[in-house]
Amino acid sequence: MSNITKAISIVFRLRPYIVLGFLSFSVFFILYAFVLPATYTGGRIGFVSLRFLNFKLGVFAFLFSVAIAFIIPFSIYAFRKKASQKTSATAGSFAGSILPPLLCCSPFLPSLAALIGGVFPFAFGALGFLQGFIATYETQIYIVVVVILAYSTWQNAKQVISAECNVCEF
Amino acid sequence: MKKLLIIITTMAIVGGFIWLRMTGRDQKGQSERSMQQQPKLANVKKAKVARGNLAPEAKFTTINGQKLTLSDFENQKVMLWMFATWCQSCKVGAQVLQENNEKLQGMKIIGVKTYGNAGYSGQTVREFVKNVSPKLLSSENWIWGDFSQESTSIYNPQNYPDIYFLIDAKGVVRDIDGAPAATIGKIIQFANE
Repeated sequence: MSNITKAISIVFRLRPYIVLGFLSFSVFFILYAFVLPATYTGGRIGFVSLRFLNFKLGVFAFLFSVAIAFIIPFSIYAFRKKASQKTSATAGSFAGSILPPLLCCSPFLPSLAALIGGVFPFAFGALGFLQGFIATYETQIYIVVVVILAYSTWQNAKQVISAECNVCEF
Repeated sequence: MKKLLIIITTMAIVGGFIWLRMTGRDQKGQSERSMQQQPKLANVKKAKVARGNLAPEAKFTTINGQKLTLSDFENQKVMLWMFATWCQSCKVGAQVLQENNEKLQGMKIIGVKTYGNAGYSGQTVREFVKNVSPKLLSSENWIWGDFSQESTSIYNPQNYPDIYFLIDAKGVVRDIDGAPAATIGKIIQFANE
């Protein structure tokens, strides 16, 4: 947790990253607010699905978006900082250190979960067991995504701190 | 950093525009798309379940064990709704139909569980209705039951968890769609035409 608060104080002291975080939150919250309730509308996404946004889905949309609002600025900050530091690290180790958090933290994950939970059951009628399983455990799937996103936020926070303080050990 | 912000903002605006265009088209085209899917469905079997065609015979067993067929409802408007008891849109659909049941008195609504529950186990029909829309258990315009395997293969060979057919008093399929909660307007309109 202290890594995250440190990373917040490092990254969000710069105005462009505040704007980026705010933009990311807004865009993804709107996206999830429309996509998540598609589970109640037979996969229809739009204002028709927005009508069915309930408290539970609203909370998940909020949590996904908040995580992304941290992850994107953190990733970009760490990436730019590390790229600008001409250290002796090899390109491979640089890529190895920065790529995993970028991959696991991208908005791709919750988007995929949202699509799977909301739209998948209606898009592929023949895959009965899978669609039934996804529909039955939708809440649990979203909780797992939140946990992964929280872990990703923490990982990215570590990247920010290590990029900021190149001599520190993590 | 500024460049990055400009790129992200532009992408968000362009993406939003495309998405809004698509969802607009999506709403308009729902019925059409459902219809486009149905010819495939109808081609699989000899019986043609398609808008404008006579509805094929369908057999089902009510939750009280009575064996009925669609032809038992001749000269009545019918909504034949096939659902799965694990399906979220079916649960919300049943709730919305219950809320609007007074406006649906002009037709019989046959709510039947798709044979095999669309591939995944779940509650019985009685449990489903009790939990989700209990008032509809005793409502006169509703019949709840389990669809036969044969009828499921004709009406829903793709095993969609939530699909309904609006059949007029002459036995002609007037509309095919899914998710009653999202399409309640046209169901009410059909019931009161």
